[in-house]
Amino acid sequence: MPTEKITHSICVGGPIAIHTVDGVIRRVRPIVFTPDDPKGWVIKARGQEFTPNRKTQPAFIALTEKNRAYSYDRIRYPMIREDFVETADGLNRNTEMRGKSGYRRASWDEALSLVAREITRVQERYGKETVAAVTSSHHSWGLLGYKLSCFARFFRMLGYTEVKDNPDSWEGFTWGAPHTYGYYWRLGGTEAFDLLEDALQNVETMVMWSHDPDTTRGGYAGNESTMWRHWLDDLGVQFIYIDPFNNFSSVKQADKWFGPRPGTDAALCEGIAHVWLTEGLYDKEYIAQHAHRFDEWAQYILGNGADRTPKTPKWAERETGIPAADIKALARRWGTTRTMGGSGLRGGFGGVCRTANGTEFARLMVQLFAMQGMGKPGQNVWVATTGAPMDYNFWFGGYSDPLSQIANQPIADKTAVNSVTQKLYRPNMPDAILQGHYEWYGEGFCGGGIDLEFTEHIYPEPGCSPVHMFWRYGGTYMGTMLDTNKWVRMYQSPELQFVVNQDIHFHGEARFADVILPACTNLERDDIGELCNSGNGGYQSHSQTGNSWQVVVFQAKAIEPLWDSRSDYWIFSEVAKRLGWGEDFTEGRDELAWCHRFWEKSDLRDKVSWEDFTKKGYYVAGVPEDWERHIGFRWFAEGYPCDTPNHKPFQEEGKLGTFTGKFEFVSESLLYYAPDDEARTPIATYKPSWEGHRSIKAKQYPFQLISPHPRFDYHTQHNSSTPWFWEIPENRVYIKGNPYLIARIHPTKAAIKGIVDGDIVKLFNERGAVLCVARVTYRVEENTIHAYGSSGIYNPVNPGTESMDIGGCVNLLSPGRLIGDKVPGMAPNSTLLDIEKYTGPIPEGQYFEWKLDRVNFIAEPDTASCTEIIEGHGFEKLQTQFRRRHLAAAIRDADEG
Amino acid sequence: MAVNPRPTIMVQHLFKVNGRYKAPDGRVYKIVLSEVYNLRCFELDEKNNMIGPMVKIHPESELAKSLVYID
Repeated sequence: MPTEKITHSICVGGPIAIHTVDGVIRRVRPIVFTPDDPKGWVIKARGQEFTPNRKTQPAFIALTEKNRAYSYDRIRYPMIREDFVETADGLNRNTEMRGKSGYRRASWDEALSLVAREITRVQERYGKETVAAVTSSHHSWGLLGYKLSCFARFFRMLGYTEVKDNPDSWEGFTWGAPHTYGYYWRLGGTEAFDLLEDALQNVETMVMWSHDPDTTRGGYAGNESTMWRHWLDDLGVQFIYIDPFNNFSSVKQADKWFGPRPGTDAALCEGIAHVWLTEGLYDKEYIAQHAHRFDEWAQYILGNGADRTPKTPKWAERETGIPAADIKALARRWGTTRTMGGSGLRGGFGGVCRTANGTEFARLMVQLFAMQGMGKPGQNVWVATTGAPMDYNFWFGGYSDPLSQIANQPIADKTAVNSVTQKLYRPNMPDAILQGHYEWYGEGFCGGGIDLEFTEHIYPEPGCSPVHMFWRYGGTYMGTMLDTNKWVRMYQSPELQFVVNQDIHFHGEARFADVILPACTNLERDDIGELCNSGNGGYQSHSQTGNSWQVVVFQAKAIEPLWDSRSDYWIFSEVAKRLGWGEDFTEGRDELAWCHRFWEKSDLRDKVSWEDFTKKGYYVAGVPEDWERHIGFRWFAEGYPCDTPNHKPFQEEGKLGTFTGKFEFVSESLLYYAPDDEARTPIATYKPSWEGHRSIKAKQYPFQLISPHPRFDYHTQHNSSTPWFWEIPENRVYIKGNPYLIARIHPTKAAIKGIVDGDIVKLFNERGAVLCVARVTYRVEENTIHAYGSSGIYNPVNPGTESMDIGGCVNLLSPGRLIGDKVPGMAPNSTLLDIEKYTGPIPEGQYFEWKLDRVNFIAEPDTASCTEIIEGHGFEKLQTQFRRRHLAAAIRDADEG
Repeated sequence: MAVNPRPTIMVQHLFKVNGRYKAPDGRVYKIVLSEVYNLRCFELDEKNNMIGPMVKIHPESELAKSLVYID
């Protein structure tokens, strides 16, 4: 009889139950709650009762973890670049061959010892700061294996140059919105506490601006909120979607879709404001009480400002392409009904804020909601993805909580402290390495204070050495950063004497490493975590209100690590051991013992025993039947001390986190810190993009690329390694062994270009070229090319050079320029390019499989090739092989027993 | 200022986050979070290491009133 076991885990995309039969993952499904789990909350609204389904609702990316675990591009063994030479001085190492060369298999001991020797060599010669390391966002879920946990513990103990993250999903909100309404501690995002109930009871119109919740919400919070939006639909709430792409949520739900020209949304905001000001459609009493220097701003909108230009709907039409009559209709609907909305997956995200004008849009959007009485019933920044009832009195740490990381006390006995103060900044790390000098403002995530946006940094820090060793951990920036061919140039520079890559899959950046360390998936190790919990004290606190259920999962190992892969924790422990501080790193704990610490140091300990928790595999934190409401912004609207979780002391005086404590229509903080900032002026205004339809460059490259967060991936971790997704025609088209990304173009422009649906097309500008498959559709604004960003697949025709890519890595085309001189945010949606039908030769395969196949076949001559695994029969062959090995081991154990 | 129709105890201005407070029995607590309901603390040993489980202290409790700020 086959032996089946069920374990649980939590992935980007949601909590899952895993059925393993004879040592092989057979089935992945949502967790279905049992009768002893608590009742769901009930919201009463408009004569109805609403309660969530009694199961977790993971996104489809979580349900394909089986395909990802046995993926064709798993890194099976430690590998060393075949032409890497371990020279004593770190020079003459054929660095120009990174990206081109193949690899040879290494033993763990050989690879780890080489890494330890190189760390010792460079740090003794140049100083500790010569090692830099960086992770991708959400490499894999689990508080132990997470980047802020075991990665941070290792590198802080080592001493290294930290590469500061930029807020790449919500740039405009971090760098803009706090200057209008504070909330820098929520990284520019708003507070959505208990707004689901408020919406169900009161809202009449939803404005979903640059927001595709069915697409972008899933990676972070599964499909937990999908049902909420259906409830609102059923109640007759009108949904208005504003996006250059009639996105997947919009086509399903929108009562009206507006498709502005990319990067002009701030002009649309001003056009709406003009209607409200001239027709009196705003809350004058609220503004009089809660706004600062509103009248000056209003005079600017009405044409009495420095530019003497009224921001009429007709004016806005010229910029946005949306007819003035439609702008008026939108403004009147919004101004006369109870309206909630915002941009992106939490109301303060979205592709619209990743443009050259992103900060100004974010500020203007907040100002519009302020004009309608933000915080009053049914009037708020809220986009139907957060704000479910929650027991705020249950504390379990999220990944950004300093209290729930093994880098820190109380989880660790001793906190790991980085002895190096030098920093790098992620978007421009290649510039810093290649030029040897770089300066920038800000701390990336600036949750500690609005002043942190203006700190000054220099690389190398005075008295410090440049970086000569780079350790890259999880995912690939080729698909998420800017003008990413410059990452190729960085990797091939001899400045980087040694490059380590630690990852599960053979992503684009892994192929530039000298040593590759294979990590396992979180189905192959023990961990603990909670979906969507970024921290109840970390950034954007209490984000798990984006879930219908608060579920803490014991992530029990479903299978042993495949091939020679190992857990991230094991890898760091082994390197630490070779550096002489292994015991200090582990504090004598194995992975299970660390998981126990997370239980012990949280409220979980009071709710469920360790034995019961690990046996059942998850814990559902119920919501009291008469839960205490703490409605977002209601305190401000009604003028009582702030009572929402995660507030600041000054809010208890009824103030916002701005200099004046009010909505600042003229920003006093910008007047103080950056009065001459041209990108982010004290009065937020629409400014044509430095790379947009008014640029001279638009004559040569007339289309605007938008590359929003992907529907079929989360960051870069899934699409490349889950070929099942390639069968979705709206995602990719598999031609001659390569999955070409879909690029969408309007029929009118396609006809001019001689492009028909299904053609292979070349997207190009001066920064590079990418081959895609054309989808000709009216769903995209006429001047726009839509192709999802975050391609985990990066396959240049000539590996290791700046050449045409066939992997759909459109970030090659995005500008490296940041939003402004003092606004270090990225703006990939301010990209001009051209498109043409591609008639050149179509290559075979993805170019890199030979590197894996060669190593894999030497290790296991009867294994399946990459192509065989992609096409299915190889996938089955792998599972059969692992099943046989498991059964043989079981028989052997039984005999020995 | 208006009155909250559903008043909640305001704790965030009463205690300093990351501050150390001494209880009458000599134990020293570090307040790591203050939310709408509770102070959340860890006991500190003589070397200021956080030890034991997370401790919840209700801000209106006798214990909370007796805590003396150290630094």
